[in-house]
Amino acid sequence: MSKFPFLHLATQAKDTQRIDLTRRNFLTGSGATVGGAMMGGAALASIISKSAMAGGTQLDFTRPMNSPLAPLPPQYPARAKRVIYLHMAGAPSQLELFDFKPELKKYDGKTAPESFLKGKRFAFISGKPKLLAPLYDFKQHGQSGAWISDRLPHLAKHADDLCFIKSMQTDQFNHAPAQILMHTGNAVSGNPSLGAWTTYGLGTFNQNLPGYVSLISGSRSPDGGKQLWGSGFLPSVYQGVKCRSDGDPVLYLSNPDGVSRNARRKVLDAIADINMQTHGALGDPETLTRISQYEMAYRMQVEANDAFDIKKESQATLAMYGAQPGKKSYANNCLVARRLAERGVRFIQLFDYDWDHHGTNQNDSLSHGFVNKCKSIDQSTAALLSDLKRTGLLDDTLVVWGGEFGRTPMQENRGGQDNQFAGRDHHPHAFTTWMAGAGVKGGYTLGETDELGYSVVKDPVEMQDFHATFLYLLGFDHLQFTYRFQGLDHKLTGLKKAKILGKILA
Amino acid sequence: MDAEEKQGVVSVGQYFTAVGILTLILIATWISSQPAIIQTVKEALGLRPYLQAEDDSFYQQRVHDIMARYCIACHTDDKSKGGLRLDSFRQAWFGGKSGSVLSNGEQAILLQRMLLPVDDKLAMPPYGRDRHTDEELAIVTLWLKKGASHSLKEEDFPEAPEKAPVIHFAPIDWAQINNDRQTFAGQVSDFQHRYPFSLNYQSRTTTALIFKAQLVEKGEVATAFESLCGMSPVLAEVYLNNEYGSEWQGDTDFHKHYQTAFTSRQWPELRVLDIRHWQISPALSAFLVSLPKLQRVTFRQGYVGSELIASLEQKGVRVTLIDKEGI
Repeated sequence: MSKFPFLHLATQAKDTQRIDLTRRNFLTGSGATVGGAMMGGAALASIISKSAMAGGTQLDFTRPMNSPLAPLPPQYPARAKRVIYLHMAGAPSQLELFDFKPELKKYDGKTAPESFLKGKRFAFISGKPKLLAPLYDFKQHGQSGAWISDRLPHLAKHADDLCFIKSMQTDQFNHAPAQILMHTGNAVSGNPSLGAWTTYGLGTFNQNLPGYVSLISGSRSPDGGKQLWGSGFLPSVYQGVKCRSDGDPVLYLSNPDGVSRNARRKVLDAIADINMQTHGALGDPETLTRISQYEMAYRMQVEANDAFDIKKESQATLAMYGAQPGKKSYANNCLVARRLAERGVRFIQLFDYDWDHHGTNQNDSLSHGFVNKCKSIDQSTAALLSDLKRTGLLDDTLVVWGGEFGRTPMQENRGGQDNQFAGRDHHPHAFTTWMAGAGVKGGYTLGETDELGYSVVKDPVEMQDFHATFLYLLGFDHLQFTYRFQGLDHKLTGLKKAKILGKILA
Repeated sequence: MDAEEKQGVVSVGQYFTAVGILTLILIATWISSQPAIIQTVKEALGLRPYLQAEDDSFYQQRVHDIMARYCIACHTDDKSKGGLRLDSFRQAWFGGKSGSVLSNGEQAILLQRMLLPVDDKLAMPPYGRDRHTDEELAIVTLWLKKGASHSLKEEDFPEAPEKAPVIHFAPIDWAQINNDRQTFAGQVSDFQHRYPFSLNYQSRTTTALIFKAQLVEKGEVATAFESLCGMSPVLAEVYLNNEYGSEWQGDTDFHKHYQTAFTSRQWPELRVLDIRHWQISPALSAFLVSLPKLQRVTFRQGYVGSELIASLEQKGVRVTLIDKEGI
């Protein structure tokens, strides 16, 4: 058992449990059965549990104190075992990539109809904006005949693997709140991210790596900040670990010169002893989180460097992704994502910045900056899909690609004047996201927008529908997957009625 | 004078007869405008079968959900605005104060009200309520066009928009699940103690198990596998790949031993199998083809013959070939 040096603490779990139970916990849990025997993974230490049998709806997520990321089975048999979420921060234009609107060409330069503007709020558009034709050519691809623009030639070869949702809607039109809504189910701060819910619900298979890794490319971090991979009100151990794709994946992970692994072990044991004393006195579960994070860092010293080291890939693989070791890039992150997926990491989140093409300057225009952005993701995203398919991982990996909202069919006219370059404003009323892999139909398109791509006319998908479907694919009923915080049973889908997108399920 | 007076006076009998006849006419007129009463009386007399939509009818499968979602907040038994109930086909067919809402095909009142602009006073659902989608409107239109039938089936409406599969979570009977798991519960929990994290139930509601060798200690995978074989009837997914793949690459006897352990058991539930570190012997090939529920299998390229791959693929099994060293 030396691979899990902390397992000896399992015997102490019973004692610590006593402290962690508040009076209220004790009273509500006293009718429950003792022992989590039915909860598969949690069999390491028998601990008092709020059994699912007692409450009827409350699922049991108790784990041994020393391994908060121990894998737990999903509620129902799941199609997806892990998730790779590719978020294009800034919101790529659906009208230049997937939502083909030939009709928009005819109206290029014409003033937008009154119905597009009346009572609507935009981030920058004011007065009477003009419609803007799609800048790039579209072609149908694959057997499904999905329309994809010529900006994504590599990805287009995967047309039959992709499941498009062209009727996504959000109610936020600024980046940060929209990203927070997309990733936490609520535009207001303080809620757990998708990955946090996932690792809370399912734990992770590889105990020597974080269960939830967040990788960032582009010129800066996404607008929504660290809460996009945060744990909100869930215990902080379920937050994503932001890793770097070059150098040490996690900063300060390597031992300093002159400190041996043995010495490190001794230090950690001594710190853990002190922390356990503190925990004995105060019973704060965050102390346990701290202990387990130290332990994970120790185990990661060996495994993480290997997992993140894309130099170990063949030249052919590097070329397929367009990855260059030592560089900070989306391509590198895609390759790392595949390596992490292979090693049993539950949730891999990629953020790629610079997709906000307003057209105020060359770099943020659809005619220039956008072209480069597409180039930078096309080959590597396609390579990731091919690679997952080749290794059989795509069968139980859910891949999601998308931004936080869409872009207007109108040319942006900041301050009443058309912007210098082709660009579109933020558009929350309709945008395109695609999924691929476990449990979703490849070569399928859900939803439709009107002929100018302004609003959804078929199968509208609200954010909570998207989240309910996401949880369904991971084996959860969104209504029963709850966490009690401040007297409320919180759900990822919140209070709005959510529907599972049955049409996209394979 | 007497005669004149007599002419103007109606006898008591005549008066009541006239009033009686008028009342009867009025009642008859009123009843004839009450399809609910006529229908109920006729049903009671056995003249008509009980009117209701059949379970597999287009109404029940497609239209009813729309009514339930948008209409029954105000049109049901305890609140029937305009005298109209839409909580079942029967009630909808009876209509409301404005008479039948289903007749006249596309001119039916039901549809006409749904087509009004959102802010129209008569629009249904009323202003401020959730409104039907175009697709839902199309379903109602089609149904009315074909006579608002209670018996036509879904296949009679081939032009109807594609139906979204309804996701239904079965209620969970924990006691039953616990009971089903009893047979192997002891073995499972022993195994979980010895090889933490590697063995899990497929879900909280199933008996089936998933094994992942990735977290079994170096040098223990083969032993673990042997005791895993004891639970073969409930194993659904077995991933024998791990970083220590070389462990399986011992001498031939070693290999034979574990392949025998595998082939000497029944694996009725096995769906996913990753044996990329195994060199596939002819005996094993035959066994793999015979696995009844196998859906996916992973081999290392070069460790497996092309005939086996072909016969597995012919059975509908997805074969993945891994072409490199590693996990």
